[in-house]
Amino acid sequence: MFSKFKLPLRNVLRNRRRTLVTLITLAIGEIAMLIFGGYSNAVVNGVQTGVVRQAGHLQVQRTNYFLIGTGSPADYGIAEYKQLMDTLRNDPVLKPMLVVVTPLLQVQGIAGNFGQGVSRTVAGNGYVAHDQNQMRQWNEYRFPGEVKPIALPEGEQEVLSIGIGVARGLRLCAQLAVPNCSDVAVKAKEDGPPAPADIAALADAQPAGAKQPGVRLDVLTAAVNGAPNVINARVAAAESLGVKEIDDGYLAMPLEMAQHLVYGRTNNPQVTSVILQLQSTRQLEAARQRIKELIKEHGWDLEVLDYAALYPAYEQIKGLFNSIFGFVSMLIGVVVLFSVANTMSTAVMERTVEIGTLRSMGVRRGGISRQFLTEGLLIGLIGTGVGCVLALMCALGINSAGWTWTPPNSIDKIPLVVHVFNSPNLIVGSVLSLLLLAAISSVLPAYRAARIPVVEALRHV
Amino acid sequence: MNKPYEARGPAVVLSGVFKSYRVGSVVTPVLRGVDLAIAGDGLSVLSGPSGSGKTTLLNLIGCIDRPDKGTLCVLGREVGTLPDAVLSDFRRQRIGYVFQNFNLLPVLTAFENVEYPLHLAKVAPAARKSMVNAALEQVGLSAHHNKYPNQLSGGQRQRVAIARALIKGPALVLADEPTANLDSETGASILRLMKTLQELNHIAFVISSHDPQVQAQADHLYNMRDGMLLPGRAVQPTPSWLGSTDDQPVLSLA
Repeated sequence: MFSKFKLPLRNVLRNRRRTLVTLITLAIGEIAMLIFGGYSNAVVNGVQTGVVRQAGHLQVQRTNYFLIGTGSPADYGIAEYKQLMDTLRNDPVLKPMLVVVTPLLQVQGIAGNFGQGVSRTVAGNGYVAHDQNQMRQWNEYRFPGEVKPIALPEGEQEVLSIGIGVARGLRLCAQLAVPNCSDVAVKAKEDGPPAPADIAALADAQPAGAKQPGVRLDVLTAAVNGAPNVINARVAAAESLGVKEIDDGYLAMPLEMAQHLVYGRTNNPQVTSVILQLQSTRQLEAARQRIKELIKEHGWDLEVLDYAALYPAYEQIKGLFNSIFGFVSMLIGVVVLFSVANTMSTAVMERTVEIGTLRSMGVRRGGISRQFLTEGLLIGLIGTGVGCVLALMCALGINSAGWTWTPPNSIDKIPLVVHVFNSPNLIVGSVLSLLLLAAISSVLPAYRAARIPVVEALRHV
Repeated sequence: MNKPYEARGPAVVLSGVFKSYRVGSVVTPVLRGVDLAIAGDGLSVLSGPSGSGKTTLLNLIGCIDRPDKGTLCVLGREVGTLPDAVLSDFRRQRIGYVFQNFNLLPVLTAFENVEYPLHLAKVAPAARKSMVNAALEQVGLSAHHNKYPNQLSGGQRQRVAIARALIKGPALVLADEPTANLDSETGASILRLMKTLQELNHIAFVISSHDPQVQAQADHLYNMRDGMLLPGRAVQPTPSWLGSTDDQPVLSLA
């Protein structure tokens, strides 16, 4: 019995070698689009995961702190942060979305290893270590591998964790046993000026018993009243943040210690941000809107920033990979377009007499067009279908292979994975676009087939 | 299914039909004022040497080509100026074709080739099966219904083509040199089959052929030369056949 697809399908399978070549072209195109698209997605998702693990999805900050206030946390601190956190945690709309709500105090300062006569500027973060460890478990995109906890012992008050770049700069590699890091001997500056007396006095002004054994650093910051403040603390470990520029200035400390540095031992310490990590990035807009409503309700002078705003490189990386994916897709599309068009044009030429026969039997021009369009679509459907299955198998293989790679501007290897299975939009989009191209490729040959005069078609040799 | 065109009137009436083909800048006249009426029943044969215009005439009668000039009336309908889609529908419903090279669809079996016109006519699948089986039995190919054209002999292919042309019950069947690619014995059997089926179905069967064997079987024979019907073979003006569409003289066998 006949169906609308019987004759086109048999015609597609008629010249098997030619059809096979076209199908292979389509399948390879589909595989290339899915694998590269999956790789792009994995990179973008990886960057997002890294940012969200450290900075959360959203941060509530004093208005304009992000743009102009980072150098003066004292002016842009959030005094009512505990009330704010309680409000966010207990809000019935936000509560189901939240994983972590935690405070952050960012401080700028100088870390000094005065025993070695070295110091460097650092960007310090006062964290709640437990919350940070919880944030590091966030893995919406299911990246493989274990996540290292923050190198800041929970419960200890005066302790530091530094980036390996800071460790290298302060000649602490050997003492902290940092892998792939060695202390470079620097010739002492015999004629260099000594440390300022007031700074040295501050360092020496630690309470009795504060100087304990172990690797220790002095951290100097500007306090809330403008005066310098310094604290001597044990360095628990040096850790890699993956990006050299961050590693070269990273310093983490317990929130209370950071608050002591900036605000002294007052009863009203502040923070610069309240971090919110959500269950899923898809909830970001809903959460943002709700937080804005709450801020407005309470009349707070606060603003909400998302991870993309806090880490502008995210959008740049995303845009870069999107543009490369678009370019690759365009090239694939051109190849598919010409391949299918060539196959269909040849089919029309070879089957001209058949076209005449069908027309003489009463098939309308539209019927001839439809037949060739259907053939093009079937080729597209089979090619992209096979390509899709093969791409999914390739993705499975790549994700299971345990390969790693080092991304640009990074110093750590990360798992090489492709996000195809969890990218339904990519799968549907690539299949539909190649199908559409196959159909477009068939339009002109189908139109020509339909316009051949019947007598000429029957006379065709 | 369509009923055969009534035998009392002509199936085809041509009046003053001209047709020429252009190859580059050269215009070659093929038909030069043909007046003709073909009976609605019987085996009509257009004979003549190669280049005499019989295939062109057959194409015009089959509504797959249009005259440059003149009137063409097929099965009571003036078809010379009909839109392409209407002509296609007309061919699908009323006309069957048998080609010199059989022109079977190579990707379909004998059964499916015969079934295809019924598929075009949107006949219900259940009815199709019995109709196709009956048609294949009529042409003696029941045992070969699952074979593809390349698995059939020339004679068998032509039988499939005949079954395909007749399956939808056309009023007019056209055959262009149906025996030219067959040996004489097979050609004779094909001819006998066509004659039998024509008589059985009471339809107009028009064959173009220069095969004397075919001409010998003709109920009506039309000789052509240089794009014109030869005089002396026939020819009785029968204005009443033109109905209301035309009143010009037409030709018929004497």
